[in-house]
Amino acid sequence: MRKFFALGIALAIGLTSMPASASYLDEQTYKEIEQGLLYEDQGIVIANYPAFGYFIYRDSEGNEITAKYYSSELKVEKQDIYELEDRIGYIDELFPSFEFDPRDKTIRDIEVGDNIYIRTDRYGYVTYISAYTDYILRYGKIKSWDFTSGQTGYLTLEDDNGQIHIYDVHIETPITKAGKWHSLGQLKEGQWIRVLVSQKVMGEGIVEEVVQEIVVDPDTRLISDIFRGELLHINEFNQTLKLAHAQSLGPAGWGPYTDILDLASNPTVITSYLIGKPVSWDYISRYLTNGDMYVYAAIEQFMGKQNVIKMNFQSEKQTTLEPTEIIAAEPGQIKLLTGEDLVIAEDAIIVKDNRLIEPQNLMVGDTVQAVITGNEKVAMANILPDIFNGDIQIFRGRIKTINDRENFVVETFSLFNYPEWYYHPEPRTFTIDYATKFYNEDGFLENGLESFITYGIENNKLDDVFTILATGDKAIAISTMPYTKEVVKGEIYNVEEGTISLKDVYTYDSKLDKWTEYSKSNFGITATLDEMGFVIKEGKHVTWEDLEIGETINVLMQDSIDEILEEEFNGEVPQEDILDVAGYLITVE
Amino acid sequence: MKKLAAILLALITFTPNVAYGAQGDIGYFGGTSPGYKLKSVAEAANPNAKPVTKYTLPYKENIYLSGKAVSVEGTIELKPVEIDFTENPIGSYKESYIITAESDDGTSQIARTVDFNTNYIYDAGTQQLTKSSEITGWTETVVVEGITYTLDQELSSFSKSLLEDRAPGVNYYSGDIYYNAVYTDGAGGDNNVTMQVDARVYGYDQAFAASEVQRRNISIDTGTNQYYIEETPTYTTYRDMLYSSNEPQAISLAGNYKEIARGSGIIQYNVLLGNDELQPEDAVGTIIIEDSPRLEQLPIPYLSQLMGHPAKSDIERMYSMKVFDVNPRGFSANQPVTRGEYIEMLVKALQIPIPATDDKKNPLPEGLFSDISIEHSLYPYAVAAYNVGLIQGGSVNPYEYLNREQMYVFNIRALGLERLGLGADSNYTPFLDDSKIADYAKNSIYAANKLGIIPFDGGYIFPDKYVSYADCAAFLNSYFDYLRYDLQKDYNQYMLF
Repeated sequence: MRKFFALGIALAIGLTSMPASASYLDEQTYKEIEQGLLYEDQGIVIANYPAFGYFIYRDSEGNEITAKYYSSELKVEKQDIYELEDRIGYIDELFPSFEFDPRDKTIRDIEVGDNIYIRTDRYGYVTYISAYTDYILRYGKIKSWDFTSGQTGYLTLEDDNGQIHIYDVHIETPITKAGKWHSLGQLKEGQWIRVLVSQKVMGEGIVEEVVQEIVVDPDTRLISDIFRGELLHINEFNQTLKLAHAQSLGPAGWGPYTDILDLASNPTVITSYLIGKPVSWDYISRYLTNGDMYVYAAIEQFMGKQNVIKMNFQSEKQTTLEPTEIIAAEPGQIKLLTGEDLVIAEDAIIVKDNRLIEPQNLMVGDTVQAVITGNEKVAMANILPDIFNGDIQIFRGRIKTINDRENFVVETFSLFNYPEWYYHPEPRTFTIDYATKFYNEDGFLENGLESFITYGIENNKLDDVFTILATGDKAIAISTMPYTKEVVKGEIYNVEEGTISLKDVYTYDSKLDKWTEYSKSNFGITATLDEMGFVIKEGKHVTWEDLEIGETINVLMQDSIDEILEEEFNGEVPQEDILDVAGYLITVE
Repeated sequence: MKKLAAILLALITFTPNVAYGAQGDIGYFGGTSPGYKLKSVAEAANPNAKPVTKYTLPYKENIYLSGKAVSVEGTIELKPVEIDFTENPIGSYKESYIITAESDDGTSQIARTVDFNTNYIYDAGTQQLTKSSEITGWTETVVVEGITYTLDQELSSFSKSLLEDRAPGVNYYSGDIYYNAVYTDGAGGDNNVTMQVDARVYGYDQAFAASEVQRRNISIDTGTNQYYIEETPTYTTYRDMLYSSNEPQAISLAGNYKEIARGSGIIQYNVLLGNDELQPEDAVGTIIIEDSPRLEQLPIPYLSQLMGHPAKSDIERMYSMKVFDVNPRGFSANQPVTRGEYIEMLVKALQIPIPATDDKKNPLPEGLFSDISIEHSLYPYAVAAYNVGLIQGGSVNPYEYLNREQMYVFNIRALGLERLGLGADSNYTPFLDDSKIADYAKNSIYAANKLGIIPFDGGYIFPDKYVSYADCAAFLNSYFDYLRYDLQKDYNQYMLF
């Protein structure tokens, strides 16, 4: 013992960097380490009582063993799921003060069901525990999600083999979408998710599964279309089906006919119903092709293909209702604002937020575009997005100062509040960064941030007037477009290369605060988006390619329709040409 | 000991452990293809089939040099090399890839020729094969929307290394790619355009399917702009099986199964930092390439004694795949399967190479098994199973009836996925009759449950129950479906987000 004491003193004197946690070993312990004597065991934790200094585990023989320890002498390690490997490794055991080891934990981190490797001293007291948990991966669609408590969510997951799994999901569970943090409150029915589950088999037939992490599909698996038509042929070799006289559902109802439409169809992922009853793929192939039956098909964009995922066969073409609000929703039944009481069952194709959902996920307040059968049963229901302009606001202001790449101040500004601009005689500050997009008469300006300055001659923007799209104080797009005080609105019936054809056109007279029909004959107009113009839809700055037939839009112009007519057609509505106007700001209603 | 050494020596001289030198059906540059079609039943049965030395596949790739994804489509030509790593556990071979592709509007193109020298070393103890490649020739011209970029080979570098893990029924591989491609500035500027790519590669091939996925991180520096892209190219080729009934009444067959070989490649991309004009909805996308399916009709027996039997379809499938070969007239669905029969079934279905019985240069090794003689019809199959590690030497117990736990041990061992059961050796599986499962089988049964091969429904597994032919057909169908359809999901569907 003296020898060891002397060694300790020598080390203490000679090694000034000796860790403060170093402790002396008695001679027997030293010899045991020297000889490599180990008292070790493995098992699974079945109870843990940190406050009382012991836990119970089941060993390889099935014996339940009570393991005691002295907290001060116990080392606990457990590898978190995000640690790829034990980077420190065994060196950490050989030299415990070596460096920070993310595996180092306390006895309180040991959970019931953990697999453990333990070492004990010669008296049977545990000195070391290394724990690991078994993980499994589940991939599936959210069938239901209840997060009303705000603390724990209740998740029903249907995996791609059709098995149902039910989990409690705690608020602290990590959840990501496209590599970014996501909130549990943002989970929606119909979303596809990948769930990492820790699985603990507590006994014969007793399995405890805890959700450790959720990864949400970054909108790669969405309902891209709903078609109706007649099933012409199923090709099992290339896994496609042909739909004759196919029509796509758009904002204004069913679109034009396509003679034959080819769609990918993998029988293992399609669910099909015939007048309310599930039918097999073979039955469809034998009896429902080339017949008089009408089929409604939900198409999912996934893995680069347009895949049919649900089909609902009906004996005849059904009634399509005008979009209206759901005012009451009960299991199997909904009531519409227009008075209809509708039955809704599992055969109905229900699409919300571009995802296929269950009838019970319909909510009061949803705006539904429904197709119903003769006996008031829903064959298909498309939940339309809320008319939503988001947080985007449109400003116009004169530059007072620019703090390079950081922010700028306008002396005064006008705020567009549909359908007019409202002047505010006060300065306002907007932030700018790498994501702010700049436009001038040539269109998008690459590296526009670098020329958005108030010094020098060439690019000096002092006193220049800009139109600004902003969310809060953040400018997301800045344009040199002219003052656009005139508004025209209409329904899109064609979109081609930035030129939008409108019918049912009305012009706004701000002096009278009145909308006037453009043409009794409904000749319509075309609006061509200017190079420095913006399109705003559902609260987002988008391109003209995102506009859809059937949508109603407002077009902000520099000159009024009357002024353009006066200049180009002597004040008359043209009878043979269609009037084309330059649109600078287009907003979708 | 001498005897054992002699046996091992004999094994080394004839064991047909052959690997194809090229995994690269989608190349190593971010493209994808539908992959080379797997052997049909007829091809697998043909002992005189010559190895393929060159093939060309349809190909797609995205070009990101302009800060957005520009898709081009064309072909990839590659030359697979067959190496006998048992005979030559250390060696090298040449790989070559020729890629040409063009965008729909013709304004963007790729022309790339790449040659590698690949060194390999086989570790018989772990049954793992390491392949490391160095580039010996790389010419590349990329045209993006009219601007031409030419690769400067002197300034560019490329390295890839793959590790193959050869399980009895599946060959898995993983590895890394890292390269710097330096192009002369196509716009005539002073700066070179550099593209730095690091990628992780995962894949497998087996009798029913082959898949590969790459996780690629791409950094591009044009001198004035920097871009960053995450990209996941993947491909899968697999053998599907369908039944068709015959319409005429006066025909000897009610219908039959056919095999359809399919293949498709997908690239999912996310331009996290693109050009300034790139809209968010254009930054993320998926492109796909598919090939034309290949058909093969499969024979089917007439099993009159099974009319109405719940396992009739499963059993017919096994006959069609030539996994069952009992005379149909004498077939009994309730007859238990023996261990010997099951080993033979797995060897056939998983296309494990069977040594020739009439090869005088490489005769079958004698005395490998204590209870099967070299004259026994099972012997070549047992040797095949032994060579790949599906069974051990010594006692095989070929006439012993197979029970369920033995079956799962064989199945998981063939998959090489015993590691998924680690920790369960002496603990619980989720089944109510867990206490009846032998310790040696718990690992495999735990893993099989985890993989979904045994769906857990809170019930019993009956580990000691003998496996009848009817049970065997149903279990094997489920197992083969896993190999056809489910294993691939870990390499395509689940990897796409």
